[in-house]
Amino acid sequence: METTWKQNALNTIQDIFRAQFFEDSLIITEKTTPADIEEWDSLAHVNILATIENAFNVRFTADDMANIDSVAVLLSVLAERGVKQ
Amino acid sequence: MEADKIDSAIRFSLAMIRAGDPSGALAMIRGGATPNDPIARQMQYSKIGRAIGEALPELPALRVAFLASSTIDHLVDCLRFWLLLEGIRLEPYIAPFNTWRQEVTNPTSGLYACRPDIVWFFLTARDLHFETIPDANVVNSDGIVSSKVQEIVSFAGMVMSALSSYVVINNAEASSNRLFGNFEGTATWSFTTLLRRYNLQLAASLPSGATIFDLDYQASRFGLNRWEEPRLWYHSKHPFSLEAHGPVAFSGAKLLSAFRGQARKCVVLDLDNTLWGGVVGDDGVDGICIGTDSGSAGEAFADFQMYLKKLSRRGIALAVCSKNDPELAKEPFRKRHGMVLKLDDFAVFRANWENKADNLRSIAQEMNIGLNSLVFVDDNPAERALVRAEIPEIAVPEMPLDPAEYISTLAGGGWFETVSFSAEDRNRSRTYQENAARQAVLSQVTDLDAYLCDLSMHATWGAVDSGKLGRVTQLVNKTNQFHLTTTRYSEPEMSELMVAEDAWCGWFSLSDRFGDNGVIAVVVLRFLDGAALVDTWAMSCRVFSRGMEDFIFLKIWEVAKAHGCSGLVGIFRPTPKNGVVAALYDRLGGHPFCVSETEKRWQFDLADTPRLTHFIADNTK
Repeated sequence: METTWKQNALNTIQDIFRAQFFEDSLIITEKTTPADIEEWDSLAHVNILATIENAFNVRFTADDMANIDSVAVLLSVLAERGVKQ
Repeated sequence: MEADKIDSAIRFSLAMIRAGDPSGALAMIRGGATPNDPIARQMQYSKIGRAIGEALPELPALRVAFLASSTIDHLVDCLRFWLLLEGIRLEPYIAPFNTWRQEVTNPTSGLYACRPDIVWFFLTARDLHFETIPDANVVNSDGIVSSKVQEIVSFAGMVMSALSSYVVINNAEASSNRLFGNFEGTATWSFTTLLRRYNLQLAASLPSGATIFDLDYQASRFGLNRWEEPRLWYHSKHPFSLEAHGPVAFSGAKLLSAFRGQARKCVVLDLDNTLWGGVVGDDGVDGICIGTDSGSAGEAFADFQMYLKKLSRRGIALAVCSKNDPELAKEPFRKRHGMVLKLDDFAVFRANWENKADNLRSIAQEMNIGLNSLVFVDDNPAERALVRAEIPEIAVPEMPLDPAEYISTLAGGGWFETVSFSAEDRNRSRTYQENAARQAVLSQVTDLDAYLCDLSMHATWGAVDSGKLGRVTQLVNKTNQFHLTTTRYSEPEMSELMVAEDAWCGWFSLSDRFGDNGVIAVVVLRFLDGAALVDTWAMSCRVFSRGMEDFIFLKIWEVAKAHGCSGLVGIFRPTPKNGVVAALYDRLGGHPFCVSETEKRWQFDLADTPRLTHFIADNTK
C-alpha cells in the first residue's frame, strides 16, 4: 500500500516538476534535491509548492515551506498531512 | 479555456519558439492566456514570455525600475508576459530588496544608472507604519497622514528631478485585520481610516508626471481573504498571494501600455443582441428587447447602452458595424422608447450586408485611426472568430451569453486605461465624428460626376410673376455670396422690372431625389443696344457646385437670343463676401473687358453657344 501511494505521489510530483521546468524527460525520485536541478531556485520552489498544494489538496505552513528542501521531505510532509491517493 | 487546451497552446507555443517562430508562438499563447489563470500557468506564460521577448529584440522596449520592500520578482515575471501581449518588451530593474529609500537618495545607485522610462514605487500598506493613537484629535491624525504623504511625494520628486521618467506609486491596500473591528470604519483615527485618508491625500498631492497604481482596488476586487497570505510574507516576503499576481500583472501591463499611448480609442458595436435583445429585422422596432419595460434583459441592455454612452462622454468613440438593412437598423434609435444611445452618439454607423472585416477596416480609415485602436463587440461567436482571424490587431472580447455581464466584460478588458484626462479628451468623440463626415464628403468628391448624376436633379424656371415676386425679392436682398452685382431691389422695384419692355426677370427652382429646394435663383437681364446685360444674378448657397450655374447661364443665353440680342455682358462687382463668383464668367467662357476697381465686365458672343455640361433636367412645361 505504502509503496503504491508513494509511487502515485511521485508520478504526480514528477509531472509537476516537468511542467515547471518544461522538461518532458525529467526524472524525479525520492532522492532528488535542488542540487540536481539547476533551475530549482527559491522562486521555483515557492511555485512548485503552490502547484503541489493544488494537486494534492493540501496546505503547507510557513515552516513547511522552509523545511521542504528535498523530494524526500516533501513526501513525508504530504504523508503527515494525511494525503493518501 | 480548459486545461487540455491551455496545455496544448503552451506546448505548441514552445515548439514554435524552438522552430524559430517567436511571432507565431506569441499569437498561439495570446489566444489561450487569461489574467485569472492560476499561478502555475502564469509562471509557464512567464517562461514563454521571456523566451519570446529575447527572440523579438525589435519589439519596442520599456525600461521600468521597481522599488519595493517586498519580493516582487514573480510579479515582474508575470508583468513581462502581459506587457508582451501589448507588444512591448519589458526591461526591468528591481532594486535590491528593501533598499528603495537608499536607491532614491544615492545618485550612483542602480536606479539612476539604468535610466528607466518609468520608476514604479511598488509600496504596500506594510510601508506605512502608521502609529494609531486611539481617540487622537484631528490635528494629530492629520499630521500622521500628511507626514507620510510628504515623505513619499518627496522621494518621487527626487527621482523626477534626476530622471525624465514617469513615476507610478502604489496606494495602500486595506487590511482584513481590524483592531477595532467594525468601529475602524467610524473612528477618524483608526488604521483603516488613516489608510483611506492617506490614499486620497497621496492622489491629491501627486506631482504632474506621476500616477497612482490603485493597489487598494486590486485587493478589493480580488478579495481580501484570498489576497492576504501571511505565511508567504513570513517565508519569502511576497506582498500578497501568488494567485493575485496574474490579475495585478495584467492591470499593471495595461497601465504601462497607456503610458505608451497604446490604450484603445473606439468601440465598434454590433446591434442585434448586442445593443438590444432580439433581431430588429425579424422582431421589428417594437419587438426588440430594450429598456426596463422589456424585463430584466431589457434593463441589462439599457444599462450596457448607458455604460457605452458614458465611455463616449469621456472621449472613447463609438461606432456601429451591423449586418442589417441600413434604414431599419436606425429605426430603434429614432423611434423606440427605452433606448439610451442616439444616432449622433456614433462617429460612424455601418449597417449593410458586407462582411464585417471589410467594414471594420473602412471604419478605421474613415475615422483616421489605426486598427489597433478598435475594440469590436459582437454577441455572435462566428463574427468574433472571423474578425480575430482576419484582423488580429483588433481587440475582440469573448462576450458572455448573459447581457447582464456585458458591462463587466468590456470594463474588465482594460482597453481604455489613461494616465491623465483633459478637455481635449472629452471632445475627442466629437472630433472623430467630424473627421468621419469630412472623409465621407471627400470620398464623394473624387466621383463627383457619378454623385451629381445620382442626385437625379431637375429644375423648373420662368419669368417672374406676382406669385414668385416675394421669394425673388427676398433672394435679391438677402443673398451675399453668390450675388454677382449685389443689387438690392424693393418689391415695387422688382414688380416694375417684371413688366418692363427692356428687362427680363427670371426665377429658377431645383429639386433632387432627396427633396425640393424651391426657388433658389433670380436673374434680371436688361436689354440695351442689341446686348443683354446680366444686371442681377443671385443664387442660394444651398445649391452651389451642383451644375445649377451652368443650367442658368444656358437659359440666360436662350432668353437673350430669343429677344434678338447678339451679345451678352456679364458684370461682377466685388464685395468682401462674394469672392466665390469672382471667376464665374471666366469659367463660362467670357472675354473680360472694362476692368476697374469696382467692376469687371465680360463679353459673350451669342453666336457661339457655350460648351457647358450639367446633370440637371429641365422640367418646365
